Amino acid sequence: MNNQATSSDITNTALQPVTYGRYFDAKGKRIVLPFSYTELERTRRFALRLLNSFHFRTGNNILITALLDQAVQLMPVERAIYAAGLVLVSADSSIYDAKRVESIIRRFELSAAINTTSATLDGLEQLGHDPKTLFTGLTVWAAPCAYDRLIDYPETSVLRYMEIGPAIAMECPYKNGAHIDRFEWQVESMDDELVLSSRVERCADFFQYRTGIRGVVHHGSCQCGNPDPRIILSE
Amino acid sequence: MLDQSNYQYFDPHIETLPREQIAKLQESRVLQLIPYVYQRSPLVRELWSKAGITPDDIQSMDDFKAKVPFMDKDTIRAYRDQHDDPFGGLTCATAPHLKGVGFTSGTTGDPTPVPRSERHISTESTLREAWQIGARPGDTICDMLFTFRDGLSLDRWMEAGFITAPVQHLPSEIPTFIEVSRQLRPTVLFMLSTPMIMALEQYQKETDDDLTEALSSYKGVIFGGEALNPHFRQLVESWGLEIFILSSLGDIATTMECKAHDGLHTWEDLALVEHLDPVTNLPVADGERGELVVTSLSDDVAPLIRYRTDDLISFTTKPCSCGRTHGRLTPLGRIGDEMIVQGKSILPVDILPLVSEFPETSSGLFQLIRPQREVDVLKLRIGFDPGSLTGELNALRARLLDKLSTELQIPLSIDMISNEELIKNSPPNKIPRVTKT
Repeated sequence: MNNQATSSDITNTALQPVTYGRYFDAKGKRIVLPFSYTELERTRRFALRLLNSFHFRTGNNILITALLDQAVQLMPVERAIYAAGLVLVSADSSIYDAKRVESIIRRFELSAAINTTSATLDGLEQLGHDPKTLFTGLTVWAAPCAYDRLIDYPETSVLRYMEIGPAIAMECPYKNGAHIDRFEWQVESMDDELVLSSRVERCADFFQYRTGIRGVVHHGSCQCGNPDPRIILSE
Repeated sequence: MLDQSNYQYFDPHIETLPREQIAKLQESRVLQLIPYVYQRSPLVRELWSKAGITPDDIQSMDDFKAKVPFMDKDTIRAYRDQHDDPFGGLTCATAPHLKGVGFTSGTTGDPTPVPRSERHISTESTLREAWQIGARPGDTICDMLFTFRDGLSLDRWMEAGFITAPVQHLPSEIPTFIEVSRQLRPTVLFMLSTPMIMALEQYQKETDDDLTEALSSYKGVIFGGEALNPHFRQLVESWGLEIFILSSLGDIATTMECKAHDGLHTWEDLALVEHLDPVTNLPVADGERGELVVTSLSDDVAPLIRYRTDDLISFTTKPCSCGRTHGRLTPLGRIGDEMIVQGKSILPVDILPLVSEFPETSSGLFQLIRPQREVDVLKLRIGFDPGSLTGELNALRARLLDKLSTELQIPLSIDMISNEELIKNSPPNKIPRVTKT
């Protein structure tokens, strides 16, 4: 597969990076991703559009489990949580921190959990906890590694959270596919592969970047009212 | 833009504030804090009610130190359990001003919540600390924090113009760390731990990579989480790196060495530091062993008030050769880790240099078995490197027993376990130094 980024020279940027995050290319290789405050703010607005399609209330607690190098992807979601008047509760998405996740679920009245991973599920099980019971009643955005394990939980609303190359996509309550920021990215499906082009200036621009992820793009209206296109993964 | 390359301090007027000005600032902040927190924090109201005081009783710093009751982790946890309040009665604000909840490590039970606004108090201290290592606007900080349990706030470095490069704090991520170091040439590493040093050593053995070259951009690396093993200090320094020890300033901010390496600078504009005898609660003299007790001076979400940290420290307010005026502490251990063996106080820090002397146990991995605080015989579990073992394991045990008994003058028993086994189920940044079984 031909993976092409128009700029890989991370020192030649017009926007000042606030952090050097990472994304994974189609072969799973970790690539440094400089990320500016401008991009952070734009992605925060995307995440806020997504959160607004839920009926969370001021003061609701939202858990984000992540790893430190997911800052580019999830720091904007944290900021959207702040902007929505919700309260962010944080833990690592590692096996080691499953104890903290269990404690948080027990102690805090959570409304949702974002980026739940198989490492967290493994850690919870190793500690003797049943994730099915713990996640009962929650809205859970599951990372791809955990989605299939969680989707059968009848009392949990399981949604997709995905990294698509340098972009993120999240499902709304109607589960019609994972929304992706239409102002930031032009997303197409070429030969059943998702291909990204950045639409506005970024620290690292992308043009017809082949992500290696198989799926199709729906541009039609969604019941949630959010016009951001939706990605549906191919079987 | 102002050329700040030769500016010694990030926040020059605050970092060098004369002691009497620090005292005035602290008193002003405490007197503003008292009515605010009393009106809002249910835990503070409950504690003060039991102590029979109200804000009207506090008219000066002397009143504060004489009358205000202490709180500690157990107090917060008890309030949390009794009132089903996950914040332990600490919060003075609700959403939307309350933005997030971080946590303590949770080593001794359910993690204690640390609620906050969008502003992280520790930002102020970490910026001063990175600056004193030598980072300047435009520099990259390699952020390899143990966990991000305080949120993914990597833009907090932005206020000083620093750019972060986050890397997972996992031994398996050492190749990524090396790659990022070569590609982005960071000036500060925040932060190293014992397992990461071991992983770097292993990486060097396996790849023969030149770590001195790969890490040559660093003006300093920050180490924290536990006491630094002398063997590992030597190893890290052999890669051309200067180590700066960092610790938590009672869950309020961070505290770190400056280039003088003569104690960790507390930030007394952010936290009122008291250094008290854990039994009598009276102030301890400069340089003596005492407990760190802190009051948050710039937190309007969940300020800790006379919070007993359980940390044993020595403390001095004598000026540092770096020119900063804020007091300096030296961490000695945790009261909860202290064992009394036939009347003698033993802390992990007493064991570490002795265990590290032996090549087979130079990693300094060990645990004190602490079924209760006072015991007749100290039981130790010591990790060893099977690859370094030249004779019988029992012979190594006997040598360790002889060394430790002679130096510590207490009865001991020792179990040997491979390093790999000991760290297998531990978090990625350290092993628990004290365990019940």
